[in-house]
Amino acid sequence: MERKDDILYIEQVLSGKINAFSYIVDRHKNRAYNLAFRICGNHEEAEEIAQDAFMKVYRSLSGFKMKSSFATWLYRIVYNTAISHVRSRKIRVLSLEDFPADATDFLSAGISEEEADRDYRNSLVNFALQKITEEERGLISLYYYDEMSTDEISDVTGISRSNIKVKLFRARQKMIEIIEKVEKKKLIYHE
Amino acid sequence: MNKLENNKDPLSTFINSEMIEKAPDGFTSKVMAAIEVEPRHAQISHVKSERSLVPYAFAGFIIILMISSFLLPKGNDPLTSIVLNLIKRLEITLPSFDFSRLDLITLPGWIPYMIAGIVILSVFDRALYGLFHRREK
Repeated sequence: MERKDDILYIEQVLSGKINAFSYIVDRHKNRAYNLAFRICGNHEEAEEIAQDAFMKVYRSLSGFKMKSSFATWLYRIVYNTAISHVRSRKIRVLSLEDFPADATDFLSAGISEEEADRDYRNSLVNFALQKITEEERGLISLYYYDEMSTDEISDVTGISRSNIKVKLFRARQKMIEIIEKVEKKKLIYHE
Repeated sequence: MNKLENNKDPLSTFINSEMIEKAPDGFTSKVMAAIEVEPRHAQISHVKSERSLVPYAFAGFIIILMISSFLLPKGNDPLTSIVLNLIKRLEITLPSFDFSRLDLITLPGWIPYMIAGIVILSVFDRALYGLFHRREK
């Protein structure tokens, strides 16, 4: 159903109804933004990347093959735009000390314990994501946030299915290691 | 969509699909505002694509003419004779050229060297332009 709706709106845009593109943007903006954010790790840049990706989609909409999935095509553009964006900027290596030791003090912000825990986990994941390569970040994001299969990730990234499994395994191991280190540091801080 | 071995995957306790970062407010309107400027670009590319069709159309026409010269029957078939009669009725006179005068022209011996020099310098110039233009990029 979703795919049919995408095609319907694409056909409307191609027939000259430019406003129909806003429905496409609305439907996919959060997923596109999330992928861009997880790869670049910065809200301002993520917005810029996602906007840039939608502009690219608009410009090459006439070249889109209606038989294929629009979401996969869009994610491919977002993924490639984000990867090239990150590669073009100066490298900044985060150390373990960069993770705020008082990151668990979300409760002081007047939110529930559940929300605080969720926010803490989210910031922990973001920190760990920044310690792995941009390609690995993209794979992790597509696998966990978008719940894509390795076949779908392969379509988006152009990496072979077997290679994705290997890269995902390595990225996962790295992230768990980082998270465990941060958790240990947190225990020391609170003792 | 799948979630392989979630129970064995400790990372899945930290990440789930409900934790996605949402696009900021006004994101759609920003994209649409940027697109409002786009139609000009689209029109230009449309005109460009139409222009690029011209050489192909002419090439196609020439190929058709060449093929028809082989396929059209020779001799006195009715269609050919009608076309030939029509051409004859037009009474076209083609200009005649006298190439014998070309033999009278004598060029100085250094002219071929000069032409060769110009060609070599042009190639050299293009090569240098390409090199520096790439560096600028």
